[in-house]
Amino acid sequence: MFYHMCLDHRILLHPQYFGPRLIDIVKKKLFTEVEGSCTGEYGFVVAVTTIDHIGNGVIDQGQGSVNFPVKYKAIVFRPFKGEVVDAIVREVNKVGIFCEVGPLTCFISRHSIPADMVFNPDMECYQNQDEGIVIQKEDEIRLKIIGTRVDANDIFAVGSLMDDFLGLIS
Amino acid sequence: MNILEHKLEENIEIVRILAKPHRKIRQQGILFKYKTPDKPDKILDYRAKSFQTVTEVCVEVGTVLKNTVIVRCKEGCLHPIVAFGLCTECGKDLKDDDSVKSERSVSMLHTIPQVSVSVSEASDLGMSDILHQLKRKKLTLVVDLDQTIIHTSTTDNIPEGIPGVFHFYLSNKKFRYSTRLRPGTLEFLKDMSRLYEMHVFTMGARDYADTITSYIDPDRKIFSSRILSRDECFDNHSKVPKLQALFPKGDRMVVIIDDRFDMWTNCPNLIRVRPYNFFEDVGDINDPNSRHAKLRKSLPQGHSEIAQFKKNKPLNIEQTSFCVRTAQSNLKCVEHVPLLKNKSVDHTKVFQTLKSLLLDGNFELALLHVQTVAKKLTSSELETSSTEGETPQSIVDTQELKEDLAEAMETQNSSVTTEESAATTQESSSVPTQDSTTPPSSPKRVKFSEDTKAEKSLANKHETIISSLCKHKDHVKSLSEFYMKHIEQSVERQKERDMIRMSSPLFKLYSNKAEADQDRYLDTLGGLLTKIHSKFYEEYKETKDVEKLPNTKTILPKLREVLSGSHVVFSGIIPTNFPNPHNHPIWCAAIQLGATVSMTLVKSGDKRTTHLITSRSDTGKVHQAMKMGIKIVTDQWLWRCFEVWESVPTESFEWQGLTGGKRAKSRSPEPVLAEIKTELTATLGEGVLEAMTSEVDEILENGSESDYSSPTDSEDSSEAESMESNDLTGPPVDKPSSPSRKRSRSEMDEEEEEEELLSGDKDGEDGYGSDNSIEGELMDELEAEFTEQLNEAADGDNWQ
Repeated sequence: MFYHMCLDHRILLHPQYFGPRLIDIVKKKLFTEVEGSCTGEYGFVVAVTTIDHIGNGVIDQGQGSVNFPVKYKAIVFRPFKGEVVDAIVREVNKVGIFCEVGPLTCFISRHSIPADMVFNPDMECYQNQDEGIVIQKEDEIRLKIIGTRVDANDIFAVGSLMDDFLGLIS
Repeated sequence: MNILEHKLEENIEIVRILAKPHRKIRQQGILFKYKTPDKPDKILDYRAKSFQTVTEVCVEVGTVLKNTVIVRCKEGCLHPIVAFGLCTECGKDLKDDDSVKSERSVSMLHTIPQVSVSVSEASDLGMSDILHQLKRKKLTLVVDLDQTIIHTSTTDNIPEGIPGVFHFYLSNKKFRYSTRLRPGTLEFLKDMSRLYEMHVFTMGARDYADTITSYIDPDRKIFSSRILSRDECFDNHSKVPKLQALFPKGDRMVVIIDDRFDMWTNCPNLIRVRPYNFFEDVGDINDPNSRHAKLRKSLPQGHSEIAQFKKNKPLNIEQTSFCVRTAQSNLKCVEHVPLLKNKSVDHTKVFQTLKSLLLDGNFELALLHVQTVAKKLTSSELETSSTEGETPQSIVDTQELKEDLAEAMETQNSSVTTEESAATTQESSSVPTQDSTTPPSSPKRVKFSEDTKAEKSLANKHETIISSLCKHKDHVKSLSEFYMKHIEQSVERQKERDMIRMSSPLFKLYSNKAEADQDRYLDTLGGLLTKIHSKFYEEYKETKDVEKLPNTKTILPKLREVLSGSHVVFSGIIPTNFPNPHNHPIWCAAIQLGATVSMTLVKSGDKRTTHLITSRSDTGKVHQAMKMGIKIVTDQWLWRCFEVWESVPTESFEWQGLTGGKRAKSRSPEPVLAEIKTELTATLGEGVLEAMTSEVDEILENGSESDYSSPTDSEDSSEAESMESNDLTGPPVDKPSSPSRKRSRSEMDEEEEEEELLSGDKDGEDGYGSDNSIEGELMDELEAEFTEQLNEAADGDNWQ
């Protein structure tokens, strides 16, 4: 699920950047450091929308670097158990399907794929009897997240195709 | 697992059944929706109390009487597949749950060891794999990389451009890898992939394995993702446990090719490949036992470097991509300024083509392009210069764009190799061309992170040119001239570098070696593997029973027994103090080839010794065998048999030591001797020479007898000595240095001998020509000298 959230971040700036364009550099650094990162609490930071406030910088003693507290708003993506999401298939093997929901990697085991879909080792895909539906690499599928594992800097999910309206999106 | 029967104690009307066979119902998941007669307006949900798998749905939508089983479910989850610590069935986090850890210990995927499956699941998957392979009439071939199909060196000095050699860096940029493919590798892999499902199993790191396979199998048709590296391996010194994990239903259909057998203990389905060596003084760079690996372990600094790099790299890429992105958006702004659209040159297009050209290193084309752009610009200059003052907005935009681009270059430069930095410098300097109609006011913003002097001077030049451009109207011309000059320079520099490279001795050495590389071992190996494949499916055809599959572990040894019936004895190969001679590699090889090995020579009977295998000359057994008329062959013969799985004719491997005081086989020095002989015959007359040789023979025979009459314990000691010079761990092909050194030594002696002979010969000729009366005296002298020489030669042989 996506959220628009107020977040904090501290930017550590090297003295070489101190100059007329200091604030610009702080902003740029915020983008590079924050966008694409992942926290267990809020999920993946997709994009920074606004920078609300850049606080006064505090010089690190002995280092000369400056710490800027920055408040910003960002769109974050946080996967939840039970959520239905669209994903792109990245790898298909006999154990299951690996797919990506944007920054999130998701695994679907072969038991969570409808029983009529079987693995074809020659083409590395899952297909049903009459080969009408084929799930292979780069395909788009809709899945239901059945579990997430949230670490400090990463989120991993397992999904399922065993429900109505799940599977290949054509 | 419990079977649960879901039923209600009142009559209900079922509205919808969500449960379907094989479907998993999470805790609090809805099984069906129903209405009760009491409240016909309200639809109620029937929820599961725990994780369940539906086995059967017993009723249909409509009215259901009380106590009828509506849905049957299995309760609980066995966690058959666990990925990254999550059960993929019930979604439970199992990372801290030890109770299931042992059950799901099999990691079946090559590339993703984090996915593990339970033992029963693994055998299911293994079975389906086997069935599939039988259907396609294939077997499994596990291929090692280093020294089996490639040879890689990490030394920096290997020049580029050697045929069949490619160079690459891995992500840590610590070493420059140079890899040479074994001749015929690509054909071999292609042919084998028709009969075998190919797997790579190397002791190299993950990215090393991936890089190599991307070179030998760019379409990923042969190996697909079946690549195993050290990173996924359980044990640093054995590949066996991982293999068992990959093939949980047994490795009956697996054939392994590897250049070393210490990794594969107890694997009769291993074909030991002759190690491929191309680069000098480099063995297996990924040998876990090597000094290299130990060095790697003992260097925590290296690790921190890598960690540092890992930390920095994504940031750089992100930074670059961000800068490029903003630059692009700014570029769009520029396009939208209507005044700039008037110009005859499309900036973005020019910029993009230039960039791509320069990045490709295509300097000539870039040069042409700059020239045409310059022409166009000069022609449209009049129009654009009039608009210059009126577009403050566009100036800001383009300036911003330039800044962004310069930054993008910087970040790119730091992450891209230095070779490319030249191109990026040009690239950043190419920015002003495309918007040169609006000269920048502050040229100092172009920063370069390179520390090389050339780069700095270039930047300075650049700056001066740009500032001059601000003043002068004909800036376009000078700018294009500058670029032309620079591009020409870099082309020249490239040529010079090529010249230097081509003339280096190492380049010559390796390119000659590459051309002369006659290693056709893979052809033989291909033949062997085809034989194994057809044998397997012949046997399978007879039974057609999946439960009684033929086993490569029995087929291979059977096919390998090419020397059955031979009885061999080793002499001077296995050191006497070797703890258990049965474990010596050559002993094992002989046994695997089907020969019987005994410690002593057997004269007659069933076990009459057929071959004496030796690498030295003066052992007691050799002389004994000589007297008994047993074939004496070098250990090379046995290794050759072991490589090709054929009983190789012994002729070319006959031991070249002493046989009755003469060389058994003609080798390179022999023609020289023959020459001398004819010369001597001419000068001395036939009879004299014959007498001389017979005399020499006599002397030698006596000498040899006295030499070799030493008791057996001295032979033992000499054998022990040989152990030092001989390679113990493997066949001599592994380390050819010792035999070759010996040979060269003896050759040297022969050369000396020949020289001395020639000089002596000259003396004799002079004397002979001048006076007949001193002929006899001279003859004696010559004879003595000759015998001495031959004796020395014999001594030389004794060393061998």
